[in-house]
Amino acid sequence: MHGIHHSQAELRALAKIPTSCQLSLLRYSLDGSLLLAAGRDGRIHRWRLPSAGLPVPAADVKSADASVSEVLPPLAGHNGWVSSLEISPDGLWLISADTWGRLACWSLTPTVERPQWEHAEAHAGWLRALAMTPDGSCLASCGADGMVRLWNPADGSLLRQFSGGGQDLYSVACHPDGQRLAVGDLRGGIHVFDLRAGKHLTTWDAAEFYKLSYIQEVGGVRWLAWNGDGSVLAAAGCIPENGGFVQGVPSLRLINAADGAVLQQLKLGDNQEGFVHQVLWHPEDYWMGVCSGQPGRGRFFLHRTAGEAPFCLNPQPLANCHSAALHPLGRQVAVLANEGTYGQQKSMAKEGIYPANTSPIHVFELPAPGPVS
Amino acid sequence: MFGLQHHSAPCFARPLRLLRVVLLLLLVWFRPIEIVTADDLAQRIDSLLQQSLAVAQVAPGPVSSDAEFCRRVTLDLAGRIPTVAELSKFLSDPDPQRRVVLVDRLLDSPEHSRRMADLFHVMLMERRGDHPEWTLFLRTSFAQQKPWDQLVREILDPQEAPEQIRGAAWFITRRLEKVGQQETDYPGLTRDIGRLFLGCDLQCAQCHDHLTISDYRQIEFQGLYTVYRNTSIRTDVKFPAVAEKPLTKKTDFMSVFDKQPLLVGPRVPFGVEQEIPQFESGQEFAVAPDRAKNFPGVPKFRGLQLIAQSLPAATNRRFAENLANRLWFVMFGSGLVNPLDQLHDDNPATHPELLSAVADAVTAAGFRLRPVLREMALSDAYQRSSCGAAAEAVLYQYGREKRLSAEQLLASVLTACGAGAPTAIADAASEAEQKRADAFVKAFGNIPGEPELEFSPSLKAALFVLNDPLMQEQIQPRGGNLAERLAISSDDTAVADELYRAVLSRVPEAEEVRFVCEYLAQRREIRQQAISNLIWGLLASTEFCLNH
Amino acid sequence: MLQPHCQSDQHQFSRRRWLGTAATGTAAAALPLFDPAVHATLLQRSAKQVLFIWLDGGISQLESWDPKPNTEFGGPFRAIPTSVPGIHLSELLPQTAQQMQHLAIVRSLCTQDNAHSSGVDRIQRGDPQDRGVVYPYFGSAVTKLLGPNASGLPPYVWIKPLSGGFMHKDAGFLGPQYGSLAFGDGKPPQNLLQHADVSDRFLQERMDIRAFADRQYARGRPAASTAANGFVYSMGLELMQRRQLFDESTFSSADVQRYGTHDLGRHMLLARRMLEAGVQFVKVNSYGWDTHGDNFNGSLSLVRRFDQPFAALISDLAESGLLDQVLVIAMSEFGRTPRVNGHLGRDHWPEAWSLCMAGAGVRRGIAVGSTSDQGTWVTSEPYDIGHMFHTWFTALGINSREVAWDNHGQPLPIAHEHCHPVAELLV
Repeated sequence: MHGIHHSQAELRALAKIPTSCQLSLLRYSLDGSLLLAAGRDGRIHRWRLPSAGLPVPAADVKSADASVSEVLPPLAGHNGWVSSLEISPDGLWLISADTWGRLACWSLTPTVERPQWEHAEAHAGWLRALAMTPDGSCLASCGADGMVRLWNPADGSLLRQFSGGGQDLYSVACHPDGQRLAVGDLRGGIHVFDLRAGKHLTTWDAAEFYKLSYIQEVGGVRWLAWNGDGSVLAAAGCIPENGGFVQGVPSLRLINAADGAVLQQLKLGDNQEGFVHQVLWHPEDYWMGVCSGQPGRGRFFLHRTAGEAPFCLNPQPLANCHSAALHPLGRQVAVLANEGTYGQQKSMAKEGIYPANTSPIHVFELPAPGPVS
Repeated sequence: MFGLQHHSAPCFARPLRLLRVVLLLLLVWFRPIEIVTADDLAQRIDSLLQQSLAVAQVAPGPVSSDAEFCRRVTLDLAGRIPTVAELSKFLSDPDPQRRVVLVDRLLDSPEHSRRMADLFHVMLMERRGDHPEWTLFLRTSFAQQKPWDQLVREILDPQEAPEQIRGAAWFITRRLEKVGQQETDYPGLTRDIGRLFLGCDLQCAQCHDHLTISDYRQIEFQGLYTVYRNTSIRTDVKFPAVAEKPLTKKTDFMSVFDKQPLLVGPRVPFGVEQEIPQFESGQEFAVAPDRAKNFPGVPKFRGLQLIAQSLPAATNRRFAENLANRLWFVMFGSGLVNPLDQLHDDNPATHPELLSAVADAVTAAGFRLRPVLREMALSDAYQRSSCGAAAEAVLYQYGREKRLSAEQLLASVLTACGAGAPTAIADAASEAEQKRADAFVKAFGNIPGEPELEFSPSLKAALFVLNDPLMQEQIQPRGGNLAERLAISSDDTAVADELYRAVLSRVPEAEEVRFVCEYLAQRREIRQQAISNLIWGLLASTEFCLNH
Repeated sequence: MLQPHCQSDQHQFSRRRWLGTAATGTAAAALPLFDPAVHATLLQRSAKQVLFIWLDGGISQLESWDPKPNTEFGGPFRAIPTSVPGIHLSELLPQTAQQMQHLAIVRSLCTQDNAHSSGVDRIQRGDPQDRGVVYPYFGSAVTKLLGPNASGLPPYVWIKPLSGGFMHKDAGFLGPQYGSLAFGDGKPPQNLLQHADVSDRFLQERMDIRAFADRQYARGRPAASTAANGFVYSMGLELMQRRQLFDESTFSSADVQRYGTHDLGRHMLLARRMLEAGVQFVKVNSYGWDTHGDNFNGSLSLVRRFDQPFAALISDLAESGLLDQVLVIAMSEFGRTPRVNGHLGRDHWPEAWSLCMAGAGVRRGIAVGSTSDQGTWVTSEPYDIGHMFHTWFTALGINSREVAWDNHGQPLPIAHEHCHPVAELLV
């Protein structure tokens, strides 16, 4: 377990919610009553949960079962995979995107089945990431077509669009000040734009997140996240060793927003571990992130900027974590991991029995605030 | 299209062989009249071949010219072409015994030992690389004129001491090295032991239609395999060394004929199976293993020792026949049994009595190679010219073209293009010399595991000769070398003469002199380059790269 | 008939001894080109050529030839229409889609081996029955069966990343002479480039002197040795004189742009030039297709970089008319699983996969075979690689059921005897 040390902080497993297919992204609604997931079946999956969070069982009781959650019917209308979800700061709207380029906005009333507005071709192809300004006035999208587009969330009108630097754009994050936008591309470029003017301000180069292996361009800045005051930008990806299989060391880079200096380049495993897929900021002054690798290792970690190593780790082995979502009260986190029949056995495919993998959701209680080693 | 015809033979060939051995031993004991020793092998060769040519109703071809003979025997026995001086001396020697004298001179030279070491390195390792300890083992063995049976014994049961012979272990250890993720190739090692020392490619009998023979062959393989699958490479020492686990059980295998499971213990092919002694647990080792040092120990009962005692023995007729066949191949360009590793009842020799005669001689000579090679070189058959042969010529009616090894080619290029003296043989090659030797092997050698038997010109070799700097530098004038000597001389006829003597080891024909003179006459201003072109053209010719 | 307790490699080795060494000799070599009578015979020989593109590791058929958008395992990408109505390809093959009228896709491959180490060999050797011999790769087999053409160039050239040289392994029991001449990263092998000290004029003079010496030597001897030797020198000279073929500075910048500046683009362009020059069998390798993880981003990168040069090449061959005599094949050793694994990859799937072919003897603008809605199984007649070998040999004018290897008097099938040519694919 190279690069990660256990410590005294503890994560407590609360529930494991089964799912019907693989999912790629998790989001809580603003009031914590809804857990949303982007499905690889082209649908947005939903669970109703107690707003205050899942009940924490007594110390000697095993994790609660999933019966505290109510499965709501998924929202249909997307194609391919639902790739991104964003929630407006007032908590009323859900924006979703898919790999065919569709962008849709839904009211967060549970009974709504149709989007308020949508664009079938908001991007040419894979629309990878969404970010909303803190005041809810502007939604940014980026995609494999290399474009950044800014939309009015109220009616979906296009405010502005510009090239993100010519590469496949994997990630986007809006600065807490609402003025700046960071966009991460395939080759490790992190481009910062003035949102309002659409002007390119600077580019920070995280080239170790990229490698050309034979003819495959491997890597990409898979996720960007600012800390609470916008002084640090976290970039997540992997340091690739080779393509194909993709062997690479999952890595997190923490950048000083003022001057682009690298505060820390964290390696979260050996070269079997793959990517850091997502990283989030917790108001109690630390980062949370998820990584996956081959053939079945996965991590959910907590880390302070400038800490030597993550100070906390998932208590039981998880397989390939792809997303995490923080409950609005800040005490619980939901983590997506993979589960299911793995690999290439035929599994009676000819008889029509060919089960797919799923992405069960693990809900943890975060360690209490206070001094941690 | 592929391979050679096999003829089915009567099944009593094997008992016949046994009888021969017994007879031979008896005859040796009683010092009788008609035994083929090494001394009269030449006569025997010629009389037997004479008989076979007469049966085919053809007359033998002409004797080789002195130039032909000088080149051929120098290549065969010293591993290179003769120098201009050696050739000229030989051509002008009035002594009627000059050929015998030449053969003896070559056999006594240090170049002969070196040639034998190179030859057997290629034969036994088949281009699987080099190792300094193995090289040392071969060179000192041949310098000491070590008999073949002793050499083989040292390979089959390698010892740590004396230091000079420990490299013999590389024959086994190289074959035990794993290739990538594949299993250790014990079957390959077993097969090579059979092929190279008994002339028998011991395979499970997929290759044979005859079911009885198929069973027979399986056990030959499995009995030998029992020994070798217990071996491994010692990791506690830096030099090549073989470790043996205690041999405690027989190998089980199944006959394809009746699908009955069979067991066999350690056994020399075509020999007798040995009982495996049982030891009490903890008593199996003569020298106990030492885990801390990674020392594997020495078992009391050792399969390698068993094989080494029984296989290379005078009583093992196949052992003698294998050597006889291989020496014959070296000198005459064709095995008496073909392929060289298919000595078996289904595949008789082209001249069975001749094979016996040579095998007798080899045994009588105590497996010393020199007396046998000498006799072969002195036979009329060896001295026959290869010129005049038609494609349908009868075997041994004419001399035969033979492939030259990379080692022979390099030595010949250096001799041809050099300053006139034969290149000195250093014990340790300089780095540049090693690089050069490796380049020649890469260009002219076969791929690892492919025996080098026939002349197979390759694009790789042609490109090497065409463009490699190593070849170019040989034909640039420098330090009294051939290119310089020829460029200095203004007598075109003399140039033609020396050119042909140096490169092709003969006097040029009138037509060839004319060709050279005309060529040079038209290139006075670029004479030096023209000379280089001429040298190159002859070096690249088929005549140079074959032994004919 | 396999023997229990026997490793099959024992048989292979013995056979090769028996058959291989003799075959490497002069018997298998052709006659020199400077003999007019022989030249005429050569002209009558087949002008067929092959381009064999090997995507090593397993290209995902679901992200290329057999897309299943919006299905359980269909993945994130769309399908796009092609120039042939009714046939759709993955959106990752936009340029190839425009060349569909020249192509034949097979979607119903179902083969035996899901491992790389054994699978690659088995596929490229046609997965024959075990006869105790090492069968040749397709390229060695074709060049042996067709015999040399009139180009004077090495018959079997392999363009690949990394190292080059003379590659014997492909040839199996045919002997090292039928191996490939590999151009590592498109660069010629060692010693191919003319030595700086030797001018063209001197090179020719040297060859003339060599030829003179050989004529002298051959008087009163069988011609086999000088013929074989002369042949390799002629080929060497031919290669040297055609060195612009692989001199990248002579590639037109328009071509370089169209094919792409990445490795596979450059190598495919070199392949086209080799074909134009008459090389009989050109194999192009691309590595890195084994996308067990991040298959979708991987395919985005990989498939697009195949699409660009492949489409350019098909278009160029069609335009010049060469496509009528060149058989083009693009394939891997297997396909990829419909099921997506935990690190967003697809694993090996020989049960239902695809390849693409075009050119000589092949019908154009068709998709043969079909898979289930989810892509998990072949629903039409499944084809093994043996069927493909039969089909390809037939397309090249070789009767795959009658022509056989002569193994010491015993005929060995050139393609698996339980398979047959696929009539749907052949004109």
